[in-house]
Amino acid sequence: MIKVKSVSKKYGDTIALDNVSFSLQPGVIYGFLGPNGAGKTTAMRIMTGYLFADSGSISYESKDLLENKLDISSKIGYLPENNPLYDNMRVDEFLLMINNVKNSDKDDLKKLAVECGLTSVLKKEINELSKGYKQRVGLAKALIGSPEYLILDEPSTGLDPNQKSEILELIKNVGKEKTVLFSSHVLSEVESIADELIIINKGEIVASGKASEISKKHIKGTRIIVESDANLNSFREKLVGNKSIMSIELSSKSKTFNTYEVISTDPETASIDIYKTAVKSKWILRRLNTESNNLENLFKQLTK
Amino acid sequence: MKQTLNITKKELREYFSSPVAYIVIGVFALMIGVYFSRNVFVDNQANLRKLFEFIPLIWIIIIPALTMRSFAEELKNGTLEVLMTLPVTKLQIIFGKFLSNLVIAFFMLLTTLPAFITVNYLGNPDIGQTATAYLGLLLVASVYIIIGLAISLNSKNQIIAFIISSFLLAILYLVGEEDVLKVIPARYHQIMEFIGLGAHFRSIARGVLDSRDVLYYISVMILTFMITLFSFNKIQNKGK
Repeated sequence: MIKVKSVSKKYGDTIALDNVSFSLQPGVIYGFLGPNGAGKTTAMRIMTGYLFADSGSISYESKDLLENKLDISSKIGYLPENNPLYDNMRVDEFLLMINNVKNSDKDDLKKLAVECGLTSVLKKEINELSKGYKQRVGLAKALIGSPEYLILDEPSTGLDPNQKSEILELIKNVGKEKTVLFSSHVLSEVESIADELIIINKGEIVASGKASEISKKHIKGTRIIVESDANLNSFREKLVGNKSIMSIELSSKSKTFNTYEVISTDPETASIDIYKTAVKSKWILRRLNTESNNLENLFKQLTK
Repeated sequence: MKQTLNITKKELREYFSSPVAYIVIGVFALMIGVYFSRNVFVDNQANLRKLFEFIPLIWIIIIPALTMRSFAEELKNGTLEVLMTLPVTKLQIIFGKFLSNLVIAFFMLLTTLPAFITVNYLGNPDIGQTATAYLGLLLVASVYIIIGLAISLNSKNQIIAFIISSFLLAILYLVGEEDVLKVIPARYHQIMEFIGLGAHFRSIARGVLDSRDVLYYISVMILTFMITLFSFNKIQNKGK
Protein backbone atom coordinates (compact mmCIF):
# COMPACT_ATOMS: atom_id res chain seq x y z
CA MET A 1 0.00 0.00 0.00
CA ILE A 2 1.21 3.51 -0.82
CA LYS A 3 0.33 6.16 1.72
CA VAL A 4 0.59 9.86 0.94
CA LYS A 5 0.24 11.71 4.21
CA SER A 6 -0.34 15.47 4.56
CA VAL A 7 2.01 16.35 1.70
CA SER A 8 2.46 20.03 0.89
CA LYS A 9 4.69 21.65 -1.71
CA LYS A 10 5.21 25.24 -2.77
CA TYR A 11 7.06 26.66 -5.80
CA GLY A 12 7.95 30.12 -4.56
CA ASP A 13 4.61 31.65 -3.61
CA THR A 14 2.57 29.18 -5.64
CA ILE A 15 1.01 26.34 -3.70
CA ALA A 16 1.32 23.15 -5.76
CA LEU A 17 0.07 20.73 -3.11
CA ASP A 18 -1.81 21.65 0.01
CA ASN A 19 -1.92 19.02 2.72
CA VAL A 20 -2.64 16.19 0.29
CA SER A 21 -3.42 12.74 1.69
CA PHE A 22 -4.56 9.54 0.01
CA SER A 23 -3.68 5.89 -0.02
CA LEU A 24 -3.41 3.36 -2.83
CA GLN A 25 -4.24 -0.32 -2.44
CA PRO A 26 -2.61 -3.18 -4.39
CA GLY A 27 -4.50 -4.62 -7.35
CA VAL A 28 -6.37 -1.37 -7.93
CA ILE A 29 -5.93 1.00 -10.86
CA TYR A 30 -6.29 4.59 -9.76
CA GLY A 31 -7.07 7.34 -12.26
CA PHE A 32 -5.48 10.61 -11.18
CA LEU A 33 -7.57 13.46 -12.53
CA GLY A 34 -7.29 17.19 -12.39
CA PRO A 35 -7.03 20.21 -14.66
CA ASN A 36 -3.63 21.48 -15.85
CA GLY A 37 -1.58 22.81 -12.97
CA ALA A 38 -3.72 21.04 -10.36
CA GLY A 39 -0.68 19.32 -8.82
CA LYS A 40 -0.79 15.84 -10.39
CA THR A 41 2.78 15.86 -11.72
CA THR A 42 4.16 17.38 -8.51
CA ALA A 43 2.39 14.70 -6.46
CA MET A 44 3.80 11.94 -8.70
CA ARG A 45 7.30 13.42 -8.57
CA ILE A 46 7.18 13.49 -4.79
CA MET A 47 5.82 9.93 -4.70
CA THR A 48 8.78 8.71 -6.76
CA GLY A 49 11.33 10.62 -4.70
CA TYR A 50 12.38 12.96 -7.51
CA LEU A 51 11.14 15.96 -5.55
CA PHE A 52 11.18 16.64 -1.85
CA ALA A 53 7.92 17.67 -0.22
CA ASP A 54 7.97 20.75 2.01
CA SER A 55 6.08 18.75 4.62
CA GLY A 56 4.32 15.41 4.94
CA SER A 57 5.49 11.92 4.14
CA ILE A 58 5.20 9.11 1.59
CA SER A 59 5.35 5.50 2.67
CA TYR A 60 5.33 2.23 0.77
CA GLU A 61 4.17 -0.73 2.87
CA SER A 62 4.76 1.44 5.97
CA LYS A 63 8.36 2.16 4.93
CA ASP A 64 9.25 5.81 4.56
CA LEU A 65 10.24 6.64 0.96
CA LEU A 66 13.17 8.92 1.77
CA GLU A 67 14.64 6.57 4.36
CA ASN A 68 14.34 3.53 2.07
CA LYS A 69 14.79 5.24 -1.30
CA LEU A 70 16.91 2.57 -3.01
CA ASP A 71 14.77 -0.36 -1.93
CA ILE A 72 11.49 1.37 -2.83
CA SER A 73 12.79 2.81 -6.14
CA SER A 74 13.56 -0.71 -7.35
CA LYS A 75 9.87 -1.54 -6.90
CA ILE A 76 8.52 1.54 -8.69
CA GLY A 77 7.92 1.75 -12.42
CA TYR A 78 7.67 5.41 -13.33
CA LEU A 79 6.75 7.15 -16.54
CA PRO A 80 7.44 10.88 -16.03
CA GLU A 81 5.52 13.71 -17.67
CA ASN A 82 6.58 14.30 -21.32
CA ASN A 83 8.39 10.95 -21.24
CA PRO A 84 12.04 12.11 -21.19
CA LEU A 85 14.39 9.60 -22.88
CA TYR A 86 18.05 9.44 -23.89
CA ASP A 87 17.59 10.34 -27.55
CA ASN A 88 21.10 9.37 -28.68
CA MET A 89 20.78 5.83 -27.36
CA ARG A 90 19.34 2.89 -29.24
CA VAL A 91 16.11 1.45 -27.86
CA ASP A 92 17.78 -1.84 -26.86
CA GLU A 93 20.73 -0.01 -25.25
CA PHE A 94 18.41 2.21 -23.25
CA LEU A 95 16.20 -0.63 -22.04
CA LEU A 96 19.25 -2.74 -21.22
CA MET A 97 20.76 0.11 -19.21
CA ILE A 98 17.56 0.44 -17.14
CA ASN A 99 17.40 -3.35 -16.86
CA ASN A 100 20.97 -3.46 -15.49
CA VAL A 101 20.32 -0.65 -13.01
CA LYS A 102 17.15 -2.41 -11.85
CA ASN A 103 19.07 -5.67 -11.72
CA SER A 104 16.37 -7.63 -13.53
CA ASP A 105 16.37 -10.64 -15.79
CA LYS A 106 17.41 -10.12 -19.44
CA ASP A 107 14.86 -12.68 -20.67
CA ASP A 108 12.02 -10.67 -19.14
CA LEU A 109 13.24 -7.71 -21.15
CA LYS A 110 12.69 -9.62 -24.40
CA LYS A 111 9.14 -10.49 -23.36
CA LEU A 112 8.49 -6.90 -22.42
CA ALA A 113 9.73 -5.67 -25.80
CA VAL A 114 7.20 -7.98 -27.45
CA GLU A 115 4.39 -6.92 -25.09
CA CYS A 116 5.06 -3.25 -25.77
CA GLY A 117 5.39 -3.80 -29.53
CA LEU A 118 9.00 -2.66 -29.71
CA THR A 119 10.70 -5.61 -31.42
CA SER A 120 10.86 -3.87 -34.81
CA VAL A 121 12.55 -0.74 -33.46
CA LEU A 122 14.99 -2.21 -30.93
CA LYS A 123 18.06 -1.33 -33.02
CA LYS A 124 16.87 2.18 -33.83
CA GLU A 125 18.06 5.31 -32.07
CA ILE A 126 15.34 6.78 -29.86
CA ASN A 127 15.45 10.13 -31.71
CA GLU A 128 14.41 8.33 -34.92
CA LEU A 129 11.17 7.04 -33.37
CA SER A 130 7.67 8.45 -33.73
CA LYS A 131 6.00 9.91 -30.64
CA GLY A 132 3.90 6.78 -30.28
CA TYR A 133 6.93 4.49 -30.25
CA LYS A 134 8.74 6.80 -27.84
CA GLN A 135 5.76 6.52 -25.51
CA ARG A 136 5.97 2.73 -25.76
CA VAL A 137 9.68 2.88 -24.90
CA GLY A 138 8.84 5.00 -21.86
CA LEU A 139 6.16 2.56 -20.79
CA ALA A 140 8.46 -0.43 -21.35
CA LYS A 141 11.06 1.36 -19.22
CA ALA A 142 8.50 1.76 -16.45
CA LEU A 143 7.57 -1.93 -16.64
CA ILE A 144 11.14 -3.24 -16.46
CA GLY A 145 11.75 -5.44 -13.42
CA SER A 146 8.02 -6.11 -13.00
CA PRO A 147 7.59 -3.31 -10.43
CA GLU A 148 4.98 -3.58 -7.68
CA TYR A 149 3.97 0.04 -8.07
CA LEU A 150 3.33 1.79 -11.36
CA ILE A 151 3.17 5.56 -11.46
CA LEU A 152 2.36 6.79 -14.95
CA ASP A 153 2.04 10.45 -15.82
CA GLU A 154 -0.16 10.64 -18.90
CA PRO A 155 0.88 7.30 -20.42
CA SER A 156 -1.27 7.54 -23.55
CA THR A 157 -0.10 10.96 -24.78
CA GLY A 158 0.79 10.95 -28.46
CA LEU A 159 -0.61 7.54 -29.26
CA ASP A 160 -3.07 6.88 -32.08
CA PRO A 161 -6.44 5.32 -31.09
CA ASN A 162 -5.26 1.76 -31.80
CA GLN A 163 -2.00 2.18 -29.88
CA LYS A 164 -3.95 3.89 -27.10
CA SER A 165 -6.31 0.97 -26.63
CA GLU A 166 -3.37 -1.49 -26.73
CA ILE A 167 -1.46 0.46 -24.09
CA LEU A 168 -4.56 0.85 -21.92
CA GLU A 169 -5.20 -2.86 -22.20
CA LEU A 170 -1.60 -3.49 -21.15
CA ILE A 171 -1.98 -1.22 -18.12
CA LYS A 172 -5.26 -2.93 -17.27
CA ASN A 173 -3.62 -6.33 -17.41
CA VAL A 174 -0.57 -5.44 -15.35
CA GLY A 175 -2.78 -3.53 -12.93
CA LYS A 176 -4.40 -6.76 -11.76
CA GLU A 177 -1.44 -7.51 -9.53
CA LYS A 178 0.09 -4.09 -9.00
CA THR A 179 -0.75 -0.75 -7.51
CA VAL A 180 -1.25 1.60 -10.45
CA LEU A 181 -1.66 5.36 -10.38
CA PHE A 182 -2.05 7.00 -13.74
CA SER A 183 -2.94 10.51 -14.70
CA SER A 184 -4.70 11.49 -17.88
CA HIS A 185 -6.62 14.31 -19.47
CA VAL A 186 -8.66 11.91 -21.54
CA LEU A 187 -11.58 11.14 -19.28
CA SER A 188 -12.95 8.33 -21.44
CA GLU A 189 -9.75 6.31 -21.03
CA VAL A 190 -9.73 6.87 -17.27
CA GLU A 191 -13.33 5.70 -17.22
CA SER A 192 -12.43 2.59 -19.23
CA ILE A 193 -9.61 1.27 -17.02
CA ALA A 194 -9.58 2.99 -13.62
CA ASP A 195 -11.16 1.16 -10.71
CA GLU A 196 -11.04 4.23 -8.53
CA LEU A 197 -10.46 7.95 -9.01
CA ILE A 198 -8.48 10.60 -7.20
CA ILE A 199 -9.52 14.07 -8.29
CA ILE A 200 -7.22 16.97 -7.49
CA ASN A 201 -7.85 20.66 -7.99
CA LYS A 202 -5.64 23.62 -7.06
CA GLY A 203 -3.36 21.37 -5.02
CA GLU A 204 -6.13 19.80 -2.96
CA ILE A 205 -7.82 16.42 -3.24
CA VAL A 206 -11.47 17.23 -3.96
CA ALA A 207 -12.74 13.66 -4.25
CA SER A 208 -11.55 10.07 -4.19
CA GLY A 209 -13.10 6.64 -4.48
CA LYS A 210 -15.19 4.79 -7.06
CA ALA A 211 -16.75 7.05 -9.71
CA SER A 212 -20.29 6.01 -8.67
CA GLU A 213 -19.54 6.76 -5.00
CA ILE A 214 -18.08 10.15 -5.87
CA SER A 215 -21.15 10.93 -7.99
CA LYS A 216 -23.48 10.03 -5.16
CA LYS A 217 -21.53 12.02 -2.63
CA HIS A 218 -20.65 15.11 -4.59
CA ILE A 219 -23.21 15.51 -7.30
CA LYS A 220 -26.62 16.57 -6.23
CA GLY A 221 -29.04 16.35 -9.10
CA THR A 222 -28.90 15.40 -12.76
CA ARG A 223 -28.22 17.73 -15.64
CA ILE A 224 -30.92 18.32 -18.26
CA ILE A 225 -29.93 20.21 -21.38
CA VAL A 226 -32.69 22.31 -22.91
CA GLU A 227 -32.44 24.19 -26.18
CA SER A 228 -35.31 26.57 -26.74
CA ASP A 229 -36.20 29.97 -28.17
CA ALA A 230 -37.53 31.01 -24.74
CA ASN A 231 -35.66 33.91 -23.19
CA LEU A 232 -33.96 33.44 -19.86
CA ASN A 233 -36.40 35.47 -17.80
CA SER A 234 -39.57 33.72 -18.97
CA PHE A 235 -37.85 30.29 -18.89
CA ARG A 236 -36.83 30.85 -15.28
CA GLU A 237 -40.11 32.46 -14.27
CA LYS A 238 -42.22 29.56 -15.50
CA LEU A 239 -40.04 26.73 -14.25
CA VAL A 240 -38.34 27.92 -11.11
CA GLY A 241 -41.24 27.01 -8.81
CA ASN A 242 -41.04 23.36 -9.91
CA LYS A 243 -40.08 21.14 -6.96
CA SER A 244 -37.89 18.81 -9.01
CA ILE A 245 -35.79 21.66 -10.46
CA MET A 246 -32.86 22.85 -8.34
CA SER A 247 -31.29 25.41 -10.64
CA ILE A 248 -31.45 26.85 -14.14
CA GLU A 249 -28.47 28.36 -15.90
CA LEU A 250 -28.00 29.77 -19.37
CA SER A 251 -25.02 27.92 -20.82
CA SER A 252 -24.94 29.33 -24.36
CA LYS A 253 -26.82 31.73 -26.57
CA SER A 254 -27.33 31.87 -30.33
CA LYS A 255 -29.44 34.10 -32.57
CA THR A 256 -32.66 32.09 -32.14
CA PHE A 257 -32.00 29.48 -29.50
CA ASN A 258 -30.73 29.51 -25.95
CA THR A 259 -29.19 26.49 -24.27
CA TYR A 260 -30.13 26.00 -20.63
CA GLU A 261 -28.58 23.73 -18.06
CA VAL A 262 -31.24 22.55 -15.66
CA ILE A 263 -30.20 20.64 -12.54
CA SER A 264 -32.91 18.38 -11.26
CA THR A 265 -33.44 15.93 -8.42
CA ASP A 266 -36.03 14.04 -10.47
CA PRO A 267 -35.06 14.36 -14.14
CA GLU A 268 -38.05 12.42 -15.47
CA THR A 269 -40.67 14.63 -13.83
CA ALA A 270 -38.66 17.76 -14.62
CA SER A 271 -38.39 16.83 -18.32
CA ILE A 272 -42.16 16.30 -18.57
CA ASP A 273 -42.78 19.61 -16.82
CA ILE A 274 -40.37 21.44 -19.13
CA TYR A 275 -42.09 19.90 -22.17
CA LYS A 276 -45.58 20.81 -20.91
CA THR A 277 -44.50 24.36 -20.06
CA ALA A 278 -42.96 24.74 -23.53
CA VAL A 279 -46.18 23.63 -25.24
CA LYS A 280 -48.26 25.92 -23.05
CA SER A 281 -45.98 28.89 -23.59
CA LYS A 282 -45.56 28.14 -27.32
CA TRP A 283 -41.80 27.83 -27.08
CA ILE A 284 -39.94 25.93 -29.73
CA LEU A 285 -38.13 23.06 -28.04
CA ARG A 286 -35.18 21.91 -30.15
CA ARG A 287 -33.47 19.74 -27.56
CA LEU A 288 -34.47 18.21 -24.26
CA ASN A 289 -32.19 15.55 -22.93
CA THR A 290 -31.10 14.22 -19.60
CA GLU A 291 -27.35 13.71 -19.19
CA SER A 292 -26.11 10.80 -17.19
CA ASN A 293 -23.68 11.65 -14.42
CA ASN A 294 -20.63 10.57 -16.38
CA LEU A 295 -17.01 11.26 -15.55
CA GLU A 296 -16.92 14.42 -17.62
CA ASN A 297 -19.75 15.98 -15.62
CA LEU A 298 -18.19 14.79 -12.41
CA PHE A 299 -14.85 16.29 -13.39
CA LYS A 300 -16.41 19.58 -14.48
CA GLN A 301 -18.37 19.99 -11.31
CA LEU A 302 -15.55 19.09 -8.97
CA THR A 303 -12.84 21.17 -10.61
CA LYS A 304 -14.81 24.35 -11.33
CA MET B 1 30.03 0.02 -7.27
CA LYS B 2 27.95 -1.92 -9.81
CA GLN B 3 25.42 0.88 -10.11
CA THR B 4 28.22 3.44 -10.48
CA LEU B 5 29.67 1.40 -13.35
CA ASN B 6 26.20 1.13 -14.94
CA ILE B 7 26.02 4.93 -15.00
CA THR B 8 29.62 5.13 -16.30
CA LYS B 9 28.80 2.68 -19.11
CA LYS B 10 25.68 4.66 -20.03
CA GLU B 11 27.69 7.88 -20.17
CA LEU B 12 30.47 6.37 -22.26
CA ARG B 13 27.93 4.88 -24.65
CA GLU B 14 26.44 8.34 -25.08
CA TYR B 15 29.87 9.96 -25.56
CA PHE B 16 30.94 7.48 -28.20
CA SER B 17 27.58 7.34 -29.98
CA SER B 18 27.98 11.04 -30.78
CA PRO B 19 31.05 12.84 -32.18
CA VAL B 20 31.77 14.52 -28.80
CA ALA B 21 34.36 12.08 -27.47
CA TYR B 22 36.13 11.70 -30.84
CA ILE B 23 36.33 15.47 -31.39
CA VAL B 24 37.58 16.16 -27.86
CA ILE B 25 40.24 13.44 -27.99
CA GLY B 26 41.18 14.41 -31.58
CA VAL B 27 41.60 18.11 -30.78
CA PHE B 28 43.66 17.23 -27.70
CA ALA B 29 45.93 14.90 -29.70
CA LEU B 30 46.41 17.53 -32.38
CA MET B 31 47.36 20.24 -29.90
CA ILE B 32 49.73 17.91 -28.07
CA GLY B 33 51.30 16.80 -31.36
CA VAL B 34 51.92 20.35 -32.54
CA TYR B 35 53.29 21.49 -29.17
CA PHE B 36 55.58 18.50 -28.76
CA SER B 37 56.90 18.68 -32.34
CA ARG B 38 57.75 22.35 -31.84
CA ASN B 39 59.62 21.50 -28.65
CA VAL B 40 61.62 18.76 -30.30
CA PHE B 41 62.30 20.19 -33.74
CA VAL B 42 62.37 23.95 -33.12
CA ASP B 43 63.66 24.20 -29.53
CA ASN B 44 65.70 20.95 -29.69
CA GLN B 45 64.32 19.75 -26.33
CA ALA B 46 63.56 16.05 -26.15
CA ASN B 47 61.79 15.91 -22.77
CA LEU B 48 58.19 15.57 -21.60
CA ARG B 49 58.20 18.08 -18.73
CA LYS B 50 57.08 21.02 -20.86
CA LEU B 51 54.40 18.84 -22.40
CA PHE B 52 53.17 17.79 -18.95
CA GLU B 53 52.98 21.43 -17.91
CA PHE B 54 51.09 22.27 -21.10
CA ILE B 55 48.39 19.60 -20.67
CA PRO B 56 46.63 21.14 -17.61
CA LEU B 57 46.45 24.41 -19.52
CA ILE B 58 44.69 22.99 -22.58
CA TRP B 59 42.47 20.88 -20.34
CA ILE B 60 41.09 24.19 -18.98
CA ILE B 61 39.24 24.41 -22.30
CA ILE B 62 38.93 20.73 -23.25
CA ILE B 63 37.58 19.18 -20.04
CA PRO B 64 34.73 21.71 -19.63
CA ALA B 65 33.83 20.96 -23.28
CA LEU B 66 33.42 17.38 -22.14
CA THR B 67 31.67 17.93 -18.80
CA MET B 68 29.36 20.74 -19.94
CA ARG B 69 26.75 18.29 -21.24
CA SER B 70 26.94 15.83 -18.32
CA PHE B 71 24.16 17.30 -16.22
CA ALA B 72 23.09 20.35 -18.26
CA GLU B 73 21.73 18.09 -21.01
CA GLU B 74 19.93 15.86 -18.51
CA LEU B 75 18.37 18.92 -16.91
CA LYS B 76 17.33 20.34 -20.28
CA ASN B 77 15.85 17.09 -21.59
CA GLY B 78 14.31 16.08 -18.26
CA THR B 79 16.21 12.78 -18.18
CA LEU B 80 17.63 13.63 -14.75
CA GLU B 81 14.16 12.68 -13.48
CA VAL B 82 14.57 9.25 -15.12
CA LEU B 83 17.98 8.79 -13.53
CA MET B 84 17.02 10.02 -10.08
CA THR B 85 13.97 7.80 -9.82
CA LEU B 86 15.99 4.66 -10.53
CA PRO B 87 17.45 2.65 -7.64
CA VAL B 88 20.72 4.59 -7.64
CA THR B 89 22.03 7.08 -5.10
CA LYS B 90 22.97 10.64 -5.96
CA LEU B 91 26.57 9.80 -5.10
CA GLN B 92 26.50 6.88 -7.57
CA ILE B 93 25.16 9.21 -10.29
CA ILE B 94 27.88 11.81 -9.65
CA PHE B 95 30.62 9.20 -9.35
CA GLY B 96 29.42 7.33 -12.46
CA LYS B 97 29.55 10.50 -14.51
CA PHE B 98 32.90 11.44 -12.97
CA LEU B 99 34.42 8.08 -13.92
CA SER B 100 33.18 8.25 -17.51
CA ASN B 101 34.86 11.64 -17.95
CA LEU B 102 38.02 10.32 -16.31
CA VAL B 103 38.07 7.45 -18.83
CA ILE B 104 38.01 10.02 -21.66
CA ALA B 105 40.83 11.97 -19.93
CA PHE B 106 42.75 8.70 -19.74
CA PHE B 107 42.23 8.17 -23.49
CA MET B 108 43.53 11.69 -24.04
CA LEU B 109 46.67 10.85 -22.08
CA LEU B 110 47.09 7.71 -24.19
CA THR B 111 47.50 9.97 -27.24
CA THR B 112 50.70 11.33 -25.62
CA LEU B 113 52.31 7.87 -25.88
CA PRO B 114 53.96 8.64 -29.26
CA ALA B 115 55.64 11.62 -27.56
CA PHE B 116 56.83 9.34 -24.74
CA ILE B 117 58.19 6.80 -27.26
CA THR B 118 59.95 9.58 -29.21
CA VAL B 119 61.62 10.93 -26.07
CA ASN B 120 62.69 7.40 -25.12
CA TYR B 121 64.19 6.98 -28.59
CA LEU B 122 66.04 10.29 -28.52
CA GLY B 123 67.13 10.30 -24.89
CA ASN B 124 66.93 8.46 -21.61
CA PRO B 125 64.03 9.82 -19.50
CA ASP B 126 63.36 8.76 -15.91
CA ILE B 127 60.45 6.30 -16.07
CA GLY B 128 59.47 6.83 -12.40
CA GLN B 129 59.38 10.59 -12.91
CA THR B 130 57.22 10.19 -16.02
CA ALA B 131 54.83 7.81 -14.26
CA THR B 132 54.46 10.32 -11.36
CA ALA B 133 53.68 13.08 -13.83
CA TYR B 134 51.00 10.94 -15.52
CA LEU B 135 49.47 10.20 -12.11
CA GLY B 136 49.53 13.91 -11.34
CA LEU B 137 47.79 14.64 -14.63
CA LEU B 138 45.02 12.19 -13.73
CA LEU B 139 44.64 14.03 -10.41
CA VAL B 140 44.41 17.36 -12.25
CA ALA B 141 41.85 15.86 -14.65
CA SER B 142 39.83 14.58 -11.67
CA VAL B 143 39.65 18.05 -10.12
CA TYR B 144 38.74 19.64 -13.45
CA ILE B 145 36.04 17.03 -14.09
CA ILE B 146 34.32 17.31 -10.73
CA ILE B 147 34.35 21.12 -10.96
CA GLY B 148 32.92 20.85 -14.50
CA LEU B 149 30.20 18.48 -13.25
CA ALA B 150 29.26 20.78 -10.36
CA ILE B 151 28.85 23.71 -12.77
CA SER B 152 26.95 21.56 -15.29
CA LEU B 153 24.45 20.53 -12.60
CA ASN B 154 23.69 24.18 -11.97
CA SER B 155 22.97 25.10 -15.57
CA LYS B 156 20.51 23.97 -18.21
CA ASN B 157 22.62 25.67 -20.86
CA GLN B 158 25.72 23.74 -21.94
CA ILE B 159 27.53 26.79 -23.34
CA ILE B 160 27.09 28.70 -20.09
CA ALA B 161 28.32 25.64 -18.17
CA PHE B 162 31.37 25.50 -20.47
CA ILE B 163 32.24 29.19 -20.10
CA ILE B 164 31.83 29.27 -16.31
CA SER B 165 33.81 26.02 -15.86
CA SER B 166 36.70 27.19 -18.06
CA PHE B 167 36.76 30.56 -16.34
CA LEU B 168 36.80 29.01 -12.86
CA LEU B 169 39.46 26.47 -13.79
CA ALA B 170 41.62 29.18 -15.35
CA ILE B 171 41.47 31.21 -12.14
CA LEU B 172 42.10 28.16 -9.95
CA TYR B 173 45.04 27.04 -12.07
CA LEU B 174 46.69 30.39 -12.63
CA VAL B 175 46.26 31.94 -9.18
CA GLY B 176 49.52 30.50 -7.84
CA GLU B 177 51.53 30.76 -11.06
CA GLU B 178 54.83 32.65 -11.00
CA ASP B 179 53.73 35.21 -13.61
CA VAL B 180 50.60 36.01 -11.61
CA LEU B 181 52.48 36.21 -8.31
CA LYS B 182 54.76 38.90 -9.79
CA VAL B 183 51.88 41.40 -9.78
CA ILE B 184 50.53 40.39 -6.35
CA PRO B 185 51.94 41.75 -3.03
CA ALA B 186 54.41 39.26 -1.49
CA ARG B 187 52.37 38.76 1.71
CA TYR B 188 49.64 37.02 -0.35
CA HIS B 189 52.01 34.69 -2.20
CA GLN B 190 51.84 31.83 0.28
CA ILE B 191 48.06 31.67 0.33
CA MET B 192 47.81 32.03 -3.46
CA GLU B 193 50.32 29.24 -3.97
CA PHE B 194 48.27 27.15 -1.57
CA ILE B 195 45.04 27.79 -3.51
CA GLY B 196 46.56 27.60 -6.99
CA LEU B 197 46.13 24.27 -8.72
CA GLY B 198 49.05 24.96 -11.05
CA ALA B 199 51.45 25.58 -8.14
CA HIS B 200 50.58 22.14 -6.76
CA PHE B 201 51.22 20.55 -10.13
CA ARG B 202 54.67 22.10 -10.65
CA SER B 203 56.52 19.62 -8.46
CA ILE B 204 54.44 16.68 -9.71
CA ALA B 205 55.42 17.57 -13.30
CA ARG B 206 59.04 17.33 -12.15
CA GLY B 207 58.30 13.83 -10.88
CA VAL B 208 58.00 14.66 -7.17
CA LEU B 209 54.81 13.34 -5.58
CA ASP B 210 54.44 15.39 -2.40
CA SER B 211 51.73 14.23 0.02
CA ARG B 212 50.68 17.89 0.52
CA ASP B 213 49.93 18.22 -3.20
CA VAL B 214 47.98 14.95 -3.26
CA LEU B 215 46.05 16.06 -0.16
CA TYR B 216 45.27 19.37 -1.88
CA TYR B 217 43.79 17.64 -4.93
CA ILE B 218 41.78 15.21 -2.82
CA SER B 219 40.47 18.04 -0.62
CA VAL B 220 39.33 20.08 -3.63
CA MET B 221 37.63 16.97 -5.04
CA ILE B 222 35.79 16.16 -1.80
CA LEU B 223 34.69 19.76 -1.40
CA THR B 224 33.36 19.89 -4.97
CA PHE B 225 31.63 16.50 -4.57
CA MET B 226 29.84 17.98 -1.54
CA ILE B 227 28.82 21.06 -3.55
CA THR B 228 27.48 18.79 -6.31
CA LEU B 229 25.47 16.78 -3.79
CA PHE B 230 24.12 20.01 -2.33
CA SER B 231 23.10 21.12 -5.85
CA PHE B 232 21.16 17.86 -6.24
CA ASN B 233 19.24 18.59 -3.04
CA LYS B 234 18.55 22.10 -4.30
CA ILE B 235 17.02 20.66 -7.49
CA GLN B 236 14.89 18.25 -5.45
CA ASN B 237 13.66 21.09 -3.26
CA LYS B 238 13.04 23.60 -6.00
CA GLY B 239 11.64 21.15 -8.51
CA LYS B 240 13.40 22.58 -11.55
